[in-house]
Amino acid sequence: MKKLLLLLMVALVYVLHQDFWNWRQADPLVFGFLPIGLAYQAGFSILASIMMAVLVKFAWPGHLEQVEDLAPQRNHPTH
Amino acid sequence: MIPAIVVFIYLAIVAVIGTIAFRKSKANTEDFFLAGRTIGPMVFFLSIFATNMTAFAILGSSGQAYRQGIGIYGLMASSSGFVIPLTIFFIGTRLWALGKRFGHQTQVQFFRDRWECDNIGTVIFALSAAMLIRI
Repeated sequence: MKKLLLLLMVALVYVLHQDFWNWRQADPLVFGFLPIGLAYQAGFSILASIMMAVLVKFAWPGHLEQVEDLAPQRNHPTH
Repeated sequence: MIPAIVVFIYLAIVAVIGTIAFRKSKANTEDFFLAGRTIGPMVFFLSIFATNMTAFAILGSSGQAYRQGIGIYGLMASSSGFVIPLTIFFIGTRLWALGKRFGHQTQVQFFRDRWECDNIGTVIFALSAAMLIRI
């Protein structure tokens, strides 16, 4: 259930990135200087960072940090 | 004169950071190329930021925004803010774990191990080199 909610959140944020309303639109100016289309994407950037914070908090793959190092037993080419 | 002073101050700061880093580093390729597979969040963030601040991002996007308007910010910057962290979260973490486990230091080493095929590594090496050529 938690995974589903998180996936829905990611999908929703992706959909919100598609700015159907203010793309290329300059007016009105937010705070008197910021074009609305740019303000929308700036807000989206903040939303994306919040989304990542939620993902890291609730879905961080911590088990990957416990990996066993097998490298000394293997011989790798350098490229 | 002032620009020269600024440049020398910058170089001095870089030299100090380099000296400190040299004293803390170990003499192996893993530490040199991959920072010992352990860097803090701020260094990681700055590294990702510097990687993406290319001529295309700074000059190209500005020019495109001049031609096509403010939507270019959404096309480039905010989409990068969405896609890059997600890619690191879902793919990067797993690649990091595999790399640590099997000692991979490059993409080619990973692909060779993943498909147990030396030739695929050679092909990817050639493709990676070809993508550096400006057309």
